[in-house]
Order: sequence, then structure tokens, then C-alpha cells
Amino acid sequence: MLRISADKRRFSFALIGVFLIAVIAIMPFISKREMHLSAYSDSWNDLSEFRKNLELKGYKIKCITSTPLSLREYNGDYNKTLLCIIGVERPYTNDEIASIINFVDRGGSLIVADDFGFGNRLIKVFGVEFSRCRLWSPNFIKNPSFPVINVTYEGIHYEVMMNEPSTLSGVSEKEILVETDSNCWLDANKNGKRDLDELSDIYPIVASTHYGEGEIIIISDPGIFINDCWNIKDNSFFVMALVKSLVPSESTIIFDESIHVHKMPNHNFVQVMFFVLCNLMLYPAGKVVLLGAAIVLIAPYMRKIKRPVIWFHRDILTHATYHHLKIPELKDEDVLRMKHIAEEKVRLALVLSKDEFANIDESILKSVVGDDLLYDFITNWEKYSVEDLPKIIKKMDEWVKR
Amino acid sequence: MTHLTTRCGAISIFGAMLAVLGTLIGEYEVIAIGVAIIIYILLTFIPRPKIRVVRETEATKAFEGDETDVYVKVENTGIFPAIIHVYDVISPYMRLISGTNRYLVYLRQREKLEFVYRVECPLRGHYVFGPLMIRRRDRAFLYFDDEKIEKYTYFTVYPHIHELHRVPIKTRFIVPYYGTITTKTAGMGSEFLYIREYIVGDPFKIINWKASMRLRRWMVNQYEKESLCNVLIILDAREITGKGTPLFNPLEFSVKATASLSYHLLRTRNQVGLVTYGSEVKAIFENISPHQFDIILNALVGTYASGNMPMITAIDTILPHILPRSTIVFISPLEDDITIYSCVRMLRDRGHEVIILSPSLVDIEATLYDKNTDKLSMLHLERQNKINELRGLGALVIDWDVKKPLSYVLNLVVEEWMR
Repeated sequence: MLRISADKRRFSFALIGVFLIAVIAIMPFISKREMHLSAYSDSWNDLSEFRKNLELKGYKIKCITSTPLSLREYNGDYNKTLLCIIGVERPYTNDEIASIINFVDRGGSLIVADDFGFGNRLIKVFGVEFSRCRLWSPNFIKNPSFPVINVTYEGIHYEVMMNEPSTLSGVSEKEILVETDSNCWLDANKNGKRDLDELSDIYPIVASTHYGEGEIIIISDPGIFINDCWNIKDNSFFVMALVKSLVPSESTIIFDESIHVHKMPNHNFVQVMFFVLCNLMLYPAGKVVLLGAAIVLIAPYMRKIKRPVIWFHRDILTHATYHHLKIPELKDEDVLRMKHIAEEKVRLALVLSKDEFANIDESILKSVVGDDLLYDFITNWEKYSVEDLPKIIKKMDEWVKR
Repeated sequence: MTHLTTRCGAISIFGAMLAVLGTLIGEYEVIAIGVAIIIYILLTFIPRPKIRVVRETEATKAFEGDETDVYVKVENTGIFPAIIHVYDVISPYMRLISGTNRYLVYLRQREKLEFVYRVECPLRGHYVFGPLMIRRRDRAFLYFDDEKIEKYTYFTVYPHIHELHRVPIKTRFIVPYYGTITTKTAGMGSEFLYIREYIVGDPFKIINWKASMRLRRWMVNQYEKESLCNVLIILDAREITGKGTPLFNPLEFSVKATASLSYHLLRTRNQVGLVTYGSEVKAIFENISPHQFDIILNALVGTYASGNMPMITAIDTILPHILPRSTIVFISPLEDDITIYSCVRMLRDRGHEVIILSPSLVDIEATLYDKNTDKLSMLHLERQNKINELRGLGALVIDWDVKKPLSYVLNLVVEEWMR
């Protein structure tokens, strides 16, 4: 068995520990994932313009940073509250979905805008889904990634520039708020180009539905909210019109910031660790990794658990080991052994050498032995079994003592 | 190395689980309880104390069956007080008669623990008292730390020596000094040999008056010359000789017999040597020096049953060094070695008297097994064959029933000769 000294073992554990800490610490920095769609950041792909406009219009802004579970404790006027979920970058847990639904059920309004993120899990509850296929249009600005859609909403015409949008599926006619014109097509096989079977059609991109006492608007492109697109075409007007249709001015708008991956707090190692830990706990795979890490950390600890040996002096002076009586019963091999013993007894009684005894006349042998059973045993020992041995041994004993 | 007890493991994992659970559900009270448990466990951990140990024994040497006191002093020379469990390791071949060799004690700084225990040494051998085991533990027994203090005390137990008066040894090798070994030769001695006619010069005190009156001529008693002889004892120490219990096995009886014979023969001014074989051959050749018995006794103390060397290998090794016509005393249970016959034949051919003292392994096992079986009867018959075969080769074989004392067995043989 391979034996590793205690020092080497300790060194190995230390090495593994340092390696794990290093990997956890470095992992966030080497991550290439971009953070965006935050209402409180001013980057081109964040939502600060949208938030500021809402504030200008007299809306009160709040945000959820930890988890939507906190909606359970919301004690404001549900009818004057709008929850904005724009760009779902992580899957909601069942409890979180239940909290959001409960919020809507009690009269809260909801805007969900997503395209290729994790929003489907939430909106499936309302019977709608994001198709997760790219919408293309011959009408675009700069490049085909930015299709321009002509929208008529509440009798007003808007030109909305979208940003790599998707479409909605499972929407009934009466739920559709906005749909594309008939020149658009969907990249169904996601190969990035138009195929023969990808025909032009009309696709829903904004839908509205009701759940309980609340109303929900689902938009298949969060890009129309971002700072870079805010002032292009009629985006801002269209978005504000949507908001206004749901909640009046001076209502409360809640941004769910918990769905976004935040900027790395790289100035403090503890913060980084806490951040990594929190992010890991948000994903099922992350929880498995955490569990594995916990087991790896606990394993050396568990190895240190030992049952103390009970110290007690006990002498072994009466412990017996046997040579002959290891198996006290007679065995099959003992038949041959007994035959040799009997032969030897007779030979020694006749004071013959082994060679002389081997050539002895049978009649002399028979007369010397003087016992039919013993003579038969010496000459035909093969036919005797171990069961016959006690009888033979007794006879031999008597023969010696005669 | 500090170890955690199962109790500590369970409590600490419970505390950690509470802390994690509290973090997950956001309950600070649960986190606080978990952290408090972990802090308690951390605070209970105290460093290893520094311990100084002194051990003394009443004597450093003893004979089998003797008892000795062992004095142990344990002092906490560190700066921390400690609850310690002290255990002085004793050989499993010793019996603890009184006192105890383990203590659980709370020692403050510079505080001492002194204890004494008494052991009986029923088996010869070289023994070591120690190491002293120290187990530090906390009050709640969450941690323990076993430390081995390499403090040893050496102790030697010599085999018990039986008082012998006569040994059945004869020699034909005349040594020009008077001794106690009969030589079958007329001369000055104490053993009567025959009656002969008076010749001029015979001392008057040996005249047999009764015989002279009956035969009408002067007759004198002739005594047997008693001389000295060289004796080489060959001791079988193969693994098989250790079968039985540590106290009741062929090797132990052989060692006692060797010590007793050597002591008797050396006391009566004979030259005695010793050869042991088992895993290797160890030889102390014949000598009559004043230290010869000490040398033999020390060799016997360190003789243990091991190996499976045949006797022929040992004889081949020592044969060139055996003094001519010396008497060979071979002590063996005669088990599992077919080379014994050729060895005896070889020694007899070279003019050596061969005496075989054989403690019976079959009898030993029968005594321990305490139940008569057919196999035992068969083994007895087989052993008897071996003894007869060796007697046929000219060796004096003494079948030693170990339940009888050695001196009694030897006396029986001498008396048989005299008859």
C-alpha cells in the first residue's frame, strides 16, 4: 500500500486549498460576460435614460437588488406599481416566479422585456413564449441588426428601432399589441441568413395579457430600452406610452436589478468572494459546485476525526497457538500418515532397516503383526477411510502395549 | 497530532450547518448560534502541554516469576495547565499485579504526578518499559492529542534455574582432572564399579571386609573414575518450538533445561557450550571460564522461536568447531525435521555421545486442548516411533513429559542406568 507521510499529505492539502482559492478569486476576472441593462448605469447598453425619463415624469423609482422574493413584503399600492423586468440574465427560481405572479395577481403591473435570455420561464406562466429566433427586416438603420418597425399603438404611429429582436409565440390575436409588417422574416434555423423556407410574415413583438387583477406587457426586445437606442426614432415615446398605459404618473416603478450580472467589485477580495458565492448560489450548477467545494473543504476536517484508542494493559500469556491441533479432527491425509506410523512401528519392532523392511516376506510380516485388521491396513490402506482410523489407532495402541 | 473526537465533529458540523443555513435564509439568530458553537469549539482548543517523565524500576534484572516495582513521575513543565491521560506501556508478557499504569489527571504548571505499580515477570526475555503515552484532552473531550514520550527503561528477565544433582551424562574422553562425570573406568571416585583382589599399594580404607572374609582373600572395592567432560548443548529454537502459550511451550522448557544443565555442569567444572538454531545459528563454544554461564544465560534470554532451519544446517555450520568426543545434548521437541536422524548418525560416527532431551509438543498441545482426540493418540504413536528410531541410532533419548520437573526426569534416567 502506498504510504504518504503526514508532512506530504499536509502539503498536498495546502496546495489544493491554495489552488481552489486562486481559481475562485481569478474566475470572475477572466469571465468575459458583459454586464448590462441596469437602470443605474450609464453605459450605452444600460437603462439610465429610461429611469431618468420616468423620474422626470413623476414616477417613483425603486429597485430589487437581492431577489424578487422581497415582493412578498411589498406594502405599497399594487394598482399603482409597475415591475420592470428588462433582460433576464439568470433563471428565476420557482419561489421568485411565484412571488412575481402573486404581485401581478394582487393588481401589480408588469413589463417583461427579453429576447434570448431566461425570460421564458417566467412568461410561460401567462401562456406566452419568446421564440428565441432572430427577427430580420429589410427596413433597418445602419445594419440589419437594427430593424425599424412601424408601430401603431393606441392610435398613434411610431417608428421603433429594435436591437436584434426576437418575436413572441403563443400569443392570441386579442393579446397582440404590436406586430411587425409583412416584410419581416424569422431566422428559424438560426444560421444567420435567409433560407428558402423562411418566408416573410407578420410576427407579434409586443403583447399584453391579464392575470388576476394585474396586467402584463411582454416585449420581445429589451434593446428598445437601452441608452444607445433611447433617442433614436420614436423609441422613447413608444416606451413611455407603454408605461403610461399601465400605470399613471406618480406611481411606483420597480426595476428588478437582481437578474443582472453586476460589475465586478474588484477592489476588495472579500467582496469578490462574496460576489462569486452569491452568483454561484443563483444557479443549480453553481450550487453543485458549492456543495463539491464544501465536501472538499470538510473532507480533511473529517479525516481529523478519530476514535481514541482505549489504553489498557492486557497480558497475552495464556494465548495459545497450536501446530498439530490446529485442526483437531482427523483428515483424509491422516490415513496414509497412519499407515506410515504402523509400518514404522513394525519395522522398529523387527529392528530392520527401511530397505530390509521393504523387501520383507508377506508371511513374516503377517506373523509379526499378528492382527488381521492391522495387517490389512498396512497392505491395503487405500480402501480405508478416515472413519476407520479411530479403530486402527486403538488397535495399534494395543499392539504396542502387548 | 491533535485529533477531533466524533463528538467534536458532530457539534462543529452542526454549528457550521446552522451558520450556512442562517446565511441562506437570512436569519441572523441562526447564524449567531452557529458561529457561537464554532467559536466555543475553537476556544476549547488549547496547545499541547510540555511533559517531563522519569521512570525507575526496583531492579534492572530479575529471574522468571520475580516481581518488581515501577516508579513513574510525570511533571507538567509547560506554561499551560492540562488534563492528561497517562499510560505507561508494559510488555504484554508481563502481569500487572498491583497499582495501575494509567492515570487521568489535571496538572497545573510545574505540578507532578507520581505513581507506582508492580509487575510480575513470568517469562524470560529482554523487556522495555515504555514509551509513556500522554493523551491531552479538553474538559468536554472535543479534542485529544496522543503524544508518545520516548522514555524507555530496559529490563532483563533470566530463565528460572532448576537445581540438579545428577545428570545422565557419561563420557569416554579421559581428562586428567577429577570431576563428577562417570567414565566407566576404574579410578578414584564415589560411584562403586566392582570388587577386585587387593594389590600392593591399595589403601586400607577401600578393603571390602565382608567380601574378604567370605572369599578368604583380600578384596577391595573399585570405584568408578569420575572425570570432566565437554558438553555442547544444541537448542532447537525454530518457530514450531514456540507453539503453545508464551509460558507453556517447548522452547520455554528447553531454555529452562539448558540453563539448569549449564549451571550444573559448569559448577562441576565441565566445559559447556551452547548452539541455538532457528532463523540463524548462534554458537557459544565450550569453555570453562568463570563468565561462561553468564554468556550462556544472556544468550538464552534473547532466544526466541523463529525460522525453520533444519538441524543439518546448524550441524554443518558448527561441526568443524566441536571439540572431539564431546558430549552433545540436543534439546528439541523433534517435530517437523527429518534431518535429525542423519545428524545423530553423523555425530555418533564422529564419536560423540548424543543425549536428546525432548519436551513433547504433543503433550503440551494435549494439555492445552484439554480434550483427548484420536488425532492425539496417533501423534503419540508417531512420536514414539521417532524416539525409538533415534534410540536405535545410539542416542540417549529422554522423552520429557513437561508436567514433571526436569530434575525428576533426569534422576529417573540415572536410576535406570544404575539398575
